[in-house]
Amino acid sequence: MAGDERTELELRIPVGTPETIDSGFLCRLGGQYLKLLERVAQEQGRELSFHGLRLEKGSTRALFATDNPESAQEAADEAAPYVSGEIEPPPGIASLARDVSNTLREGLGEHQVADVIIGPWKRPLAARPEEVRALSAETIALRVKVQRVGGVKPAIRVESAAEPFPFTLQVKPDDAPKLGARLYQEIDIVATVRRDDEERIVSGTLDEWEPLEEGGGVEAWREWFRKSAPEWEGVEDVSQALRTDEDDEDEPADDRH
Amino acid sequence: MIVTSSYPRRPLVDSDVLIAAWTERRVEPTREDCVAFLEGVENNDGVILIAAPTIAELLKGTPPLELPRRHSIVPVPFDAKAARVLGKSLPPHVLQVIRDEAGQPSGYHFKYDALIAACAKRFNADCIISLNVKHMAPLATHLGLQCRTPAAYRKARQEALPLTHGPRTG
Repeated sequence: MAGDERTELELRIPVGTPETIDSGFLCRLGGQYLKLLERVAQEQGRELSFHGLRLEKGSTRALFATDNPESAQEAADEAAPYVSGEIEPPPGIASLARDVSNTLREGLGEHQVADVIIGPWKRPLAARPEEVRALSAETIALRVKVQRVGGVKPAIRVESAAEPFPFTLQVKPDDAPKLGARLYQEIDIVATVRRDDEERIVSGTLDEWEPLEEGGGVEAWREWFRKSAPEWEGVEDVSQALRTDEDDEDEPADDRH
Repeated sequence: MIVTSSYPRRPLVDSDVLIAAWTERRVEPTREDCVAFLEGVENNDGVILIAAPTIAELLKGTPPLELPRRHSIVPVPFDAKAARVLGKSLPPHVLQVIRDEAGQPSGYHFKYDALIAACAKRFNADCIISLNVKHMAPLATHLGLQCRTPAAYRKARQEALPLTHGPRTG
């Protein structure tokens, strides 16, 4: 986006219409959210301000003009996990994020989320679940693709074929630049995470990570097997050793059901 | 069940398939099928999942090297979410019924199979590939997954091969 481009940040709220929405809720949410974004941008060393308010017909769409759309997007991207509780916000931002979260929770239904839209960019804005702090932690080991690295409080956003949604993990400041060099690449991670009732990861910290090596996996694993489990070459009856039935082999599953 | 010639994108491969592919003693055509399956998935940009309990089954006392970290093979742990999958879909009374119906002897091996199958579901495998279909398929079915042998893909491969000779014209 060009720096001199004037554009709008849209806050799309899934309740009511511009004519029916609770005016106090809309003004409070808009004010708190813009204040949060300006503060996050300030921490990022960026300029950001908003002016004007336009309401679109249909569902409730509040549009705020800005001369700094790139800063607005960066700030909105970083602020969203602070509001949702995925990442614990830094002290100077925590109360602002909590205000937005509380207002969202008061004004929206239990599973409703607002959307923040800037041009083609869109990101959900969800309240922090009330029970986040009570969720138990668990350790996961996953292969993930790094989608984003950064933030005032360093974090990575990752996606994994083994998790239904991308999620955010806090990282050690020393790790952030190293992870930045792995953007859009796969890495293996060990993380401590918390999940909501729908098994969605809502917060977490990165404990360990390793980059992948180049080359084919099958050949590398075969070499690993030959050196790490050579005993199998001396096993006459593998099925028996694994306590399986020898006569199961070589028939496709289709023939047995 | 219809198996197409295309390889699965994200299969979880059972211990017996890996041992068959990676040892020399295995009788043909089993070994050839297993090798062709692993290479076929990799060459088609798929990802092979290997469950941590499988890795435990492979090791027999030699100090293991560090696991390779390569794009096409992902070792997956039996973690808390896998435990919830197992407890929800394959609780002990269900495992008992499956074991009795399959005529399996009691022993920890069956629990290994259950752990491996739960890893497949938890890590979004699209199927389980095993030589031990008789025992693994009921577990996979309870988890909403299919279980196939590498040989199923051999047949599909052969059927998909182009003719080497033109049709006879008389």
